[in-house]
Amino acid sequence: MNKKGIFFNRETMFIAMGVLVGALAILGMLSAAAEVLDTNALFKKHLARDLALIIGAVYAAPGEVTYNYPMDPGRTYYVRVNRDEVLVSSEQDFREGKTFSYRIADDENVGFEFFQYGRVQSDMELLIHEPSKFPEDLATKPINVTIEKLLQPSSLPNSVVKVGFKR
Amino acid sequence: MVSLSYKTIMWIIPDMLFLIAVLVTIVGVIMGFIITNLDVREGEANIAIHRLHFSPNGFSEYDTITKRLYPGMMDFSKLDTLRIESALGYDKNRIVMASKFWVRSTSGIPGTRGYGEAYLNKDKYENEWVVFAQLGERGVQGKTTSSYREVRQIVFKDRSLWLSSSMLMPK
Repeated sequence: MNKKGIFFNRETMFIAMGVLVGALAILGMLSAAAEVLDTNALFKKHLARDLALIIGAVYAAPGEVTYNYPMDPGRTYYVRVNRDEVLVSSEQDFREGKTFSYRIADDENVGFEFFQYGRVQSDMELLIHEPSKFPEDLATKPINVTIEKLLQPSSLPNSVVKVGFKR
Repeated sequence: MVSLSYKTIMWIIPDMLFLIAVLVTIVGVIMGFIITNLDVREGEANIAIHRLHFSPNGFSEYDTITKRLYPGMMDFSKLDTLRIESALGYDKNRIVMASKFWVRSTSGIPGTRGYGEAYLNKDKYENEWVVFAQLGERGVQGKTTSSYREVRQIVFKDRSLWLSSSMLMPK
């Protein structure tokens, strides 16, 4: 009697192939699900939209506005605000694939500046000043300054982003 | 005699079909419960409309000396397409919003002459998106455009008027 036939007969081989194909399919599905359920990506997408809407809303502010943006201290993201979009990334170099963006409608009648200034205790803070209230050294900074801001209160305990408007 | 490879294929095909059907169903159910699309267009449209009402560069009267804005008091010189396009400047290469703003009398008398109108991306609004928006509102599926509307009462020289805003954004 051929003992090999007991363990490697045709049916066993078919079942093994089926199991292998099934395992590959399940692995692929889990990988796809992990990609979809990437909360980091979802959070970045959410943050980009939220910041874009806030900036859009504060454009209408006629006077001085201070906006304190609460952040989860457990997360680290980099935010870059350009004239027409907000970029949120988990990488400092804003690598494609790790960066989410959302559009902003700018106002050509308003000089729009983002700049880093001073330090506060926690969370990101957006401040909107009228030009007359800008400190001298900030008012002379060029328009369209782009800043990159680390949103982690624990590592930057006293940081603030100021959003300036020139009318 | 039937070859082994033929039998293998015949054996695998029904199993594979069943496996694919099960996996597609599972993935479909999971995806149905996961919301990854964050649609903020309605908020964006509302903010854009409010910007035009409350920003010094919008429709309302603005005193440059006292820097006071008078929301609800219309400055008709500001109801201008070029001005609106400069106040709501999205990326020119990627038009995401088109809108129409028009003023009419509150009397509601048919034939009452309009007081004025202005657009944001007029070509897109009149020639393309308004058609899709109307089709979408009538239940036609496909490439539809979402429409966000607002009517606000305003004052111009002691006259009460309606300022209507219609904001269109493609899906």
